[in-house]
Amino acid sequence: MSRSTLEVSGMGCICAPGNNLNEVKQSLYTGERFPMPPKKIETQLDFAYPVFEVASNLQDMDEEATRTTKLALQAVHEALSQAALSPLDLQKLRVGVAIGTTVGCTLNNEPFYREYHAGNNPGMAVVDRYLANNPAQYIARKYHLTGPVATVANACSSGTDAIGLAKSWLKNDMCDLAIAGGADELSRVTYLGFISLLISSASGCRPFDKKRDGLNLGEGAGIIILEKENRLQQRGADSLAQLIGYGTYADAYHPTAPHPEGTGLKKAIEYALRESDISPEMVGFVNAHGTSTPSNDKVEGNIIAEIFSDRIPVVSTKAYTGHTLGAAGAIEAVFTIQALIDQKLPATPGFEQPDEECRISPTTDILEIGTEIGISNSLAFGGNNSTLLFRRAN
Amino acid sequence: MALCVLGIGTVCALGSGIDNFKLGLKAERQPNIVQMPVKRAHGAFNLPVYQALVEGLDRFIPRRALRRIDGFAKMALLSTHLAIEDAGIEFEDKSRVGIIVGSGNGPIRTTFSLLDGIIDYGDHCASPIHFANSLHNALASQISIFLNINGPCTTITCFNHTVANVLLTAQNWLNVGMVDYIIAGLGDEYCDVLGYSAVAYGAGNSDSIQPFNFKTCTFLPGEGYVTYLLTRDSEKSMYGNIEKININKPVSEIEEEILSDSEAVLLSAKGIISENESFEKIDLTNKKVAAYSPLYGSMPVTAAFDISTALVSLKDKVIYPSPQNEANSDEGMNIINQKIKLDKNSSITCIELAEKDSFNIYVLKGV
Repeated sequence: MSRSTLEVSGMGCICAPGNNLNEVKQSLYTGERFPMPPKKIETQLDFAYPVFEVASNLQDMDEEATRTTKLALQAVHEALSQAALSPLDLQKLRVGVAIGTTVGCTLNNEPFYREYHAGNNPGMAVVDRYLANNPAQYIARKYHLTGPVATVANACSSGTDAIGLAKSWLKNDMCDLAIAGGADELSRVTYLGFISLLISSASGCRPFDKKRDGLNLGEGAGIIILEKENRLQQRGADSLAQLIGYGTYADAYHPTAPHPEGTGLKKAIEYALRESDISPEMVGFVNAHGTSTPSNDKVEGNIIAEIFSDRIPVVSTKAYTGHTLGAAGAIEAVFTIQALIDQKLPATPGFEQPDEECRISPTTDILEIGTEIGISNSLAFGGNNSTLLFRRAN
Repeated sequence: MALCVLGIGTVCALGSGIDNFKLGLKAERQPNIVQMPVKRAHGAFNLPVYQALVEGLDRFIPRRALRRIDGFAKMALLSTHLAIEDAGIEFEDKSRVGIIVGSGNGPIRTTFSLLDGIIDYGDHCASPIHFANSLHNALASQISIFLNINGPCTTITCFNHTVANVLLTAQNWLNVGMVDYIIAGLGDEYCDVLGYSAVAYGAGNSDSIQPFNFKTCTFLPGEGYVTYLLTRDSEKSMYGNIEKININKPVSEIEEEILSDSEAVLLSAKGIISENESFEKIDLTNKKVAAYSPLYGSMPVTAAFDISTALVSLKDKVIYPSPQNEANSDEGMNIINQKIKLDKNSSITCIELAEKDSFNIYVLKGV
């Protein structure tokens, strides 16, 4: 097993606040956010729950790609560019691809199924597209990569777990470099699904606020390029951060609700800390899952306060992006690294009134931080809890 | 590091449990092939489908507790319980047990049930239960909840890369000491839309899968779920060990893998014409070759059942004849048509298509 540290050499991000990381940063640091009724989704419902849509229609991307795959490709392209890696460079290496998604691996194309349901004979173009668009496979094929390829489908922790999987590939010397992250598009099915669960907010989400009443869906992609320190040195490239810890544990409690004591999340954070030999006092901030649902924020806030302190800086960037499902953990990993680089956290819009049941209060303004280490949490349907731990590059 | 297989739980058209699976290998039990109606423009006709026989779950979980559990999750739960029962162990610390689930298409029947509700009754009638159960990680979640296993838990879905990635992830988790045991489950379920699509892609031209008839499309959809209970201590295995998992090997690099003194090569050929074009390029001259998809059907995780076949063979010290071994083959292969005895340390290689002209290779060794 490799003892070399794992370096992040590139990042890419597309989500409602912007089409690339620079645009996204600007929105985050100006506190702007724009939850709006969906433009690409029409329903028979009386009310349009706000979402965070990516404005771009991604016209320049591969025509045969689904929107989820296009979002992923956009972020991959940006991350490779930052890492100063060309497609040709990749073909000389063993490159793994791990992508988290929820919508991107599901055959739930509504127009196709409506035709079928009506007794007609829809053509196979939709199924062909589904078979060709498994996000990790698509990226591997596009760049002619021969390392391990996995699409992780762990609901809302998929992006985090994809990065964790890539970490294990590198540690076990299964590849030289990994493209890891998550991508998800807004879909009518998930939109209606979340509304049916009564956890969609009718206004902009309010992570950790006393009056929080649910989440807003979003879409996007976050990608990081992971490589071992010695390889990075060999090619004379810079590191943005180190991925030093990953923990993941199940609650074994309920299909859609977190364990009220946060048992799985606690174990995930403790494992990541132990693995990286970091004490809780060394962690400078938490990028919380912070969905703004009553149960998530209460459980997560309590565990953060218990392990770290009720005064540790916490941010929930879902207030800017919405809940991007399989992409969320990856987008938030990118934001965590960016916060370490910039040494500041954005405010958490929507948060006004602390909830004593959450025990923590997220940022209300831009917060300067003097820290080397930050963590990013993800909690998921099915009781998955995962944490990534990053250290600022030397 | 080799993966040590402590127990196997199979649920497929051959029935539930490894004993039924073995009867199928011995040709003493026939697969449950059901004629499923498929509607097409030129009229409805029946497609032979390998339907899983999910029997005996109430030995482990009261029926009442399964009211909201869909058919695919029942398959997964039964398979998991059977694997643990087969291994005959009890977990002392359930946080040291990992769950890894792999599926090509996930809970596809529930996905369409969710859409049925929306189409038939309107957008306000989306079922929250169907929505939650349509997520790919619903199976892993139900396994975790019903068995109270609170270790790491993940779901991988990547068509022909699924089996390899589940096993590699298991290897990694055991290697870094995250867990002591892994419940590695792989499965896929059939639904009407898959049948409809299968016919469009050429299924139903033949009444049986002829895996060595590389020139003809003979695939028939199947469904099933197999669980391996894995650990790292190779001395403990009842079946044998998964010694090597090599991914994405081009044709030119396969020869040396097969030549690594394997007694037999099991091809995950399942009658799909586009896959056959790649299988055809492997030089299998003078190799002892078998393909068992005619026993369990075509699905993205067929290779997981082939690995079970190899493990049962290693345990029994015998390779059972390849079904459909008289089917048209002019490739000069030595298709196994009678039992072959194995030694204690024999090895078997399983080959699965990963991408066009590249393959995942699993080398299994007896103990």
